[in-house]
Amino acid sequence: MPDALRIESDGAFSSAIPPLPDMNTGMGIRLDEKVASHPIRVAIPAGDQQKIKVAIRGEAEKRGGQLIEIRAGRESELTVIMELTGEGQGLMGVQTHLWLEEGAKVRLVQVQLMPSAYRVLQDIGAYCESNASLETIQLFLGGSDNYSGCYADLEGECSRWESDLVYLAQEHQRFDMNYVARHRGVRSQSQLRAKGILREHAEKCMRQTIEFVKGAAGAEGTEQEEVLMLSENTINRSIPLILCGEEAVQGNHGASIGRPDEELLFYMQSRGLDMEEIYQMLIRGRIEEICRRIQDPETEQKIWSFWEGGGENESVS
Amino acid sequence: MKEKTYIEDVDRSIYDIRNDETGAYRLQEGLSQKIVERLSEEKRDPLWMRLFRLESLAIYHQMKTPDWGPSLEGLDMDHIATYVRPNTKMTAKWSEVPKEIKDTFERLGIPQAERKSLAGVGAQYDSELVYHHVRQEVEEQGVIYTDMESALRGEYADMVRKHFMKLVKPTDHKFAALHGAVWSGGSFVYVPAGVSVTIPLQSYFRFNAPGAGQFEHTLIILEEEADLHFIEGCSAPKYNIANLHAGCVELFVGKNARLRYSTIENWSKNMYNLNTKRAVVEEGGRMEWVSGSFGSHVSYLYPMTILKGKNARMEYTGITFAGEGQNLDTGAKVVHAAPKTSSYMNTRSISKDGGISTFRSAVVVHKEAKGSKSAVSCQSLMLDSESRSDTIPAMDIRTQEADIGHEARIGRISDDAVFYLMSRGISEEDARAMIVSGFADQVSKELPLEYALEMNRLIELEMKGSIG
Repeated sequence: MPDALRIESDGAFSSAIPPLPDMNTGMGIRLDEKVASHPIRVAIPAGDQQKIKVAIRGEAEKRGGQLIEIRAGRESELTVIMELTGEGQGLMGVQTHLWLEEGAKVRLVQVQLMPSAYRVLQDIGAYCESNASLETIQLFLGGSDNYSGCYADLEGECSRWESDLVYLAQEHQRFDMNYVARHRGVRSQSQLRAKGILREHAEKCMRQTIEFVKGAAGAEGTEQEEVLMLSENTINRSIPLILCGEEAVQGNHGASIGRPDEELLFYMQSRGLDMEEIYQMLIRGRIEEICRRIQDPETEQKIWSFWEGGGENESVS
Repeated sequence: MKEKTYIEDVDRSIYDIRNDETGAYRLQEGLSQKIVERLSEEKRDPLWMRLFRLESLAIYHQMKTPDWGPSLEGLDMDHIATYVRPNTKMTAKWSEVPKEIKDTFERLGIPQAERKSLAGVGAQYDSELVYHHVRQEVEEQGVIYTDMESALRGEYADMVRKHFMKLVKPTDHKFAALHGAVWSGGSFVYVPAGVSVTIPLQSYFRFNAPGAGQFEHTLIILEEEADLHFIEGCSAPKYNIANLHAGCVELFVGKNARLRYSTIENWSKNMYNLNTKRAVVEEGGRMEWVSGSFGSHVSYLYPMTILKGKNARMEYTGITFAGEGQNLDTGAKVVHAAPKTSSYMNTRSISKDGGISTFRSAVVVHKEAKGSKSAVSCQSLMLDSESRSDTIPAMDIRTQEADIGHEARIGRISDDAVFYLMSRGISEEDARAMIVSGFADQVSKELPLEYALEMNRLIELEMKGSIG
């Protein structure tokens, strides 16, 4: 199965590094066995700073799964930029396990630029020790049926997870997403932000869960979701959960779902823009917002190239 | 380490009055075709109702017990008597109600409330109504307020048959099927077109028998431009064995009509409260739910509103207070099925002493519901770390022309607020009680004064304690 995926990386990945302990992921154990056969692993030494780019390409008419395990050593800083591309139709499953040791900082960027006939499964599991900080930045622009999940165990005191997700679902694309922050650590923090645009016949389901386990005193978690529905035939489902077994916590959720603000539309139309132009501006705005977080010109260029090319990747030999 | 506020158990002496069952008729425990047939005979059901009960029983046996909410393991239908009839007949004269039952309702303040602020009262004791009375001036307006059994056999029989369990069908869930099989008691209300009932009607459900179930059915029909406030109260003494309440409320709100349905639920903490409430609202109609859940061991309670007509509106205001040994799963559902409909849910929940409170909601917006709006706001207070508070909202939106908002917040009493009040000379205990009362104010201000006072008293009792 791994042969179905082509992986290029400038990091020191190896299958010889000891595996990480089992961990929870957003999509659950059923994906584990599909991706576990040929894992690749990287371990960042304590105090080190690294930036790694991983390009995963799905072959046409193939099904492939890949497990990537990353251990960030104590006080290390790591940025991983993962690009998912492909050609034709097929199925790609990528599961990423992250172990953040004490004080480690990890930025995981995932940019999904798959062809419109490819089914994509993107799954993340993270375990955060004390003072560890995880930032996940995800942009989903392609694929047909998209399943994604992320589960962060905020085990250590003052551990932190910040998630920024932007997705564009159009035509008959389907997105099914499950994001879970499990607070066990004292004063742990989570921020789950999701911004999406639905067009044509797209369908999306977003589940966000913040769980405060007894003992996580001083923990704070926030879920925010914004969904712009730009067409009449879209379907939006949102299920934002807050589960609380500890008194001294603060959990918040806010969601806004619907079409763009009438006054904004009126203003833009009064400036001579038609609805399609306005919608394109809104989509570009969302992409620009996430590009600013990614902070990588090369990746940004690929995103715009994909978007302006109507959802097609540049071919690779 | 900071000392915590010790909170005493609620003083339930008013609600814990137990009367013996001398002279009462009690069906044997369990659920079988024979028992349902016997119940139907006792109730002198018309044939269609007898067949309906048996059909519902068959559905009950086919359906699974829900496994997604609080545990129902302690509920064993083989040990529940589905029908207990007190040794009296229904009367419209308070003086004719047997003394023991009358004393119970008087301690609960029902006749006093009727004199002061109600247009009519129905009082159910176990499985049957024992008192039903409506003011003459309300009757003269054409308002019908009677017990379900009288309605089923009298002038309104066709209307009852047309509406009975059409909104909540026995196939909805296992306990709706159970209700269809063994229902007994409850009220029928009909308000003619254009009639506004300016003071509320109230039904009070008192459950006295241990190891039994109460399955009252409330059916309210409001014609065009009618207006009504209906209040439902319930309580029971505590026993060491499980009791079951699986009532059903069906509300039909006509064009431009308004119905407010207020409930103060204070069942004892051995009660499984598996009640089903549903309303359908026609064009321009308005449904308002006000709900206070204080009692029960386990609750599954999610009043549902179907906004069927254009411009129909729904508001739900609720508070849930879960204490020791309680697992209260409450919330609301709304279906926007027509253009320009709107809904607003505003809930508060409080958990203490190991109590579990879950807010569960669903907002469904159909494709046809263009121009609809919905806002949900739920706030939860945790008073200690032995307790739990979960929020489980779901939104299913199928038109872009809708404006949907949701916000939820879970937290504890702000130390800053307690400190501020204490710096003004208020004790910590009183400061906390004041903050909790303020937190619940959204609900109490929606109730008539007498009921708001009762709710505040319940909160004060729950919060009463000393700094330990």
